[in-house]
Amino acid sequence: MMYYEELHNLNGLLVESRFESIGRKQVEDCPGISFKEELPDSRWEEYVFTSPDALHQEDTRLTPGPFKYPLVLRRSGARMLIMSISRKIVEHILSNNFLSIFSPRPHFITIGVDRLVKTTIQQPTEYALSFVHARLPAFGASLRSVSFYGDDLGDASIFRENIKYMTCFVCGLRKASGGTEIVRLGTDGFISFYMTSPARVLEVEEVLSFLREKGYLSTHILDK
Amino acid sequence: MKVLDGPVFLSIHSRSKDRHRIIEIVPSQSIALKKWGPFSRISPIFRIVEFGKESPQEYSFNGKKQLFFIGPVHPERIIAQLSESSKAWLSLGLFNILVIPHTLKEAKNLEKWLEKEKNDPCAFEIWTIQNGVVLDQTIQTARKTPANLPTAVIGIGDGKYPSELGEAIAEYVPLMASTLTRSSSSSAKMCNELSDELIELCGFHEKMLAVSKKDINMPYRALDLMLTINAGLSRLASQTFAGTSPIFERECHFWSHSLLGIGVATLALRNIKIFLEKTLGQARIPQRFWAMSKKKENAIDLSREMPPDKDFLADVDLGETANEPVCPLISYFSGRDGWRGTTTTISAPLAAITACNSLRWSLLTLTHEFSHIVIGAILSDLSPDFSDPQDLSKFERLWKQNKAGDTLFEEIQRTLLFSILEMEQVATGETPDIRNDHNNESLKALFQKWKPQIEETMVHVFDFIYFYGKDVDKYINGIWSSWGTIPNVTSRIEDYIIRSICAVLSTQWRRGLKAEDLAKKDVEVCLENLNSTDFGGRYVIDALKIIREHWDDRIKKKVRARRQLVKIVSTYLFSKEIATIVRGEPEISGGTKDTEGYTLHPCYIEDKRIRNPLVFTEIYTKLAKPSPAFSLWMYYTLAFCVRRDE
Repeated sequence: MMYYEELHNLNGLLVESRFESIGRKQVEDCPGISFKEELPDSRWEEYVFTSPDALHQEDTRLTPGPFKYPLVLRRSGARMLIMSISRKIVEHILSNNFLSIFSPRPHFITIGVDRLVKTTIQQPTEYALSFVHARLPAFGASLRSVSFYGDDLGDASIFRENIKYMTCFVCGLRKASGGTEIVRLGTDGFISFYMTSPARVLEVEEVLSFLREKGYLSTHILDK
Repeated sequence: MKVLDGPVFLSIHSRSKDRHRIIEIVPSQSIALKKWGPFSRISPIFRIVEFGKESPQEYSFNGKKQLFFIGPVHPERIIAQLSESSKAWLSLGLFNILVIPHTLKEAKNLEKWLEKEKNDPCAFEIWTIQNGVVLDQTIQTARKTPANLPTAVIGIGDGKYPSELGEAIAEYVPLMASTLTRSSSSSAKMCNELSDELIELCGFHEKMLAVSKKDINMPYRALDLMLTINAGLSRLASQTFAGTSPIFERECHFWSHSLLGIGVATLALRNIKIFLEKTLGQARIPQRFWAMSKKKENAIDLSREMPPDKDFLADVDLGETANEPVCPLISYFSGRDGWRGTTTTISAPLAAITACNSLRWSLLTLTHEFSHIVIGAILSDLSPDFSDPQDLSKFERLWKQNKAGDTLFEEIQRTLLFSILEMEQVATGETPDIRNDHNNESLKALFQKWKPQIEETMVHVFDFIYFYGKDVDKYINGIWSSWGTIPNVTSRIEDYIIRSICAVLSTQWRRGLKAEDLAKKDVEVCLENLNSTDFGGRYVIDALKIIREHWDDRIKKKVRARRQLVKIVSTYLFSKEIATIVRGEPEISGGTKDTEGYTLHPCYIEDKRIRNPLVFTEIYTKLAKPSPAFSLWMYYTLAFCVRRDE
């Protein structure tokens, strides 16, 4: 049996259930999921997910199943950030293991990445853009997408001048005051970050609060 | 929630001995037909898989049951209120989810929840059924008082018109009044939006009639306008509101859906139409073109110079015009009209109801019809007024002056004339002599002869660059698959080849003399690939044969004669900024998979939102084989998940 102890790069999704709140018990009741511990000084929880299938490109000839993967959760009311070492594991859990407890299954919460990027350029905030991946719909097949990397993309004129042609779908944020990238966000609720220190989860939480306050997190549960 | 393919049928019959209504769910239409009577009605409904269980294929309503008709509502809102043992089906009507609660207690709870739901309430009707006999109906339509009829409707009704118009106006007024009151009497947001749009539409219709009164061709132009509006409106009303409460009293004349109508499909179609209006319509390309082409600084000799690579349209300041409302089109399905766009209506074929997942019946074809509306308006400005000899003479002078027009507008008029003469010369082998044509009759005849070809060529280029993102494979596959459904077009294959190559020429024309050959090669490769798939259709083999045998002696010359038209559309009618709005989809997350960043799965109904119905339609319309369930899933996504609030 194999277990990835290293919580280094976490990838996952921001989801929402139709239940008024998601409790630890409900998560633990999902098949294959067991509670491990709370992350220090935070409201984040670590669970262990046991899967009969290899979900992280393991060579099953050398390492027979079942496979154990870390699962990191931050629950808040009906919303939940669910992370693991790859997005594929998270999607597998949502599509399979959660179904017996959550029906309809939790939905991805979209993040208004395009609006976030365009607003950040016009009205800089405490966060700076460290990465942007965008489509260029007007150019069609001739030029499909572009990526930009830097410490503060909004400060670069080449980026600002061409933003009107872009539909941004992934962006990275860092503190405008300095430091490394805190988190990478995707339109479909994708969240990714490096656990460079235990405090990183709190920084991610601050970013999520910022997104919620500014109205960038939109519920997928329509008409609610 | 997964939708299963192969619909089952909900049918009601009137029992002759006591006139009681009998209801049943049967697996095929032919079974329902065995009991058919003069009051029978039927609608396909779709089974779902939820809580790991499939809805039944047949159901006889043994014992005492309650059947809830609920909608319009995203089914997940209702499913969340049900237990695992309840049964549910989906329909294409505005009552889009049918539920049989497991117990009468559960039925009571559902009814209470529906009554309390204040945030976007949905209408419902409950039938109490005993051994298949409908005992009674409880109607809770989430009703509100219908809006007062707008003054425009009353104004049109009270107006004075020539007698030939009387019948059309007499039909319009109650038709609009009924459509309006039916949509405004529901509390559902979707119906209210339609009601608001209809009120706006009445104002436009009133203005159109007032303008038409001043026209010398009156009353026939106005009559044509009213007949088109009436045809569209009556289909929209019948297809959308048939099968709403009271269900027994509202029959749909699309007979395969006579019980519940196709309200979800019409609302989906309307969402595509609204997107087109709010993006390309609001961009007001004809007005921008008009303003831009009259500016002195944009003057150019198109016969000698390469136009600059510039976003001409984006630079135009429309001023107050930008805030004026765009006249909404009436969208509907029609077996007779099929794909058709006019200045007041836009339609899709009835076959698309169960086959819109197939490339042959793709709803993306609507973009071609919408492009006709835009290009038609531009050509109307550019064309001479044939009834005005002065205008014709001015046009003739443009040709005789042997130099560029004073403005870009005049130069484009001169270029249009040049293209017409080229097309005529290639087609007949003779150069028309319009220089010695003192009464302009030849010019008039030539313009009238070639205007449809000019419009089609420009429309194909416009459609290709704005809606297909210059993706040759997608475009050629799309239009040739769609043409495959049209009977008896063998004689038009050459025209279709020319239009296809002209569209693709828009990506190559800056490459100089080889441009036509390069565009031809692109199209040929696509058609070869298409021929090896299920999409091919009857005409692709013939098209390849014509291209191979007649490229040098015929087709190339015809394409070259249209080169200037391609240049005009690519340079002066294309705006990168407008195209970004038309083709942008902030809800996709990237990726190179088939779904290009959408996380939706065909036939799985989820309330994930989308913002660009065209991109959604493009990405999920890839199959050759029509599938009613896949099509239903597309209509549900287009009707319930398109968001326009940002």
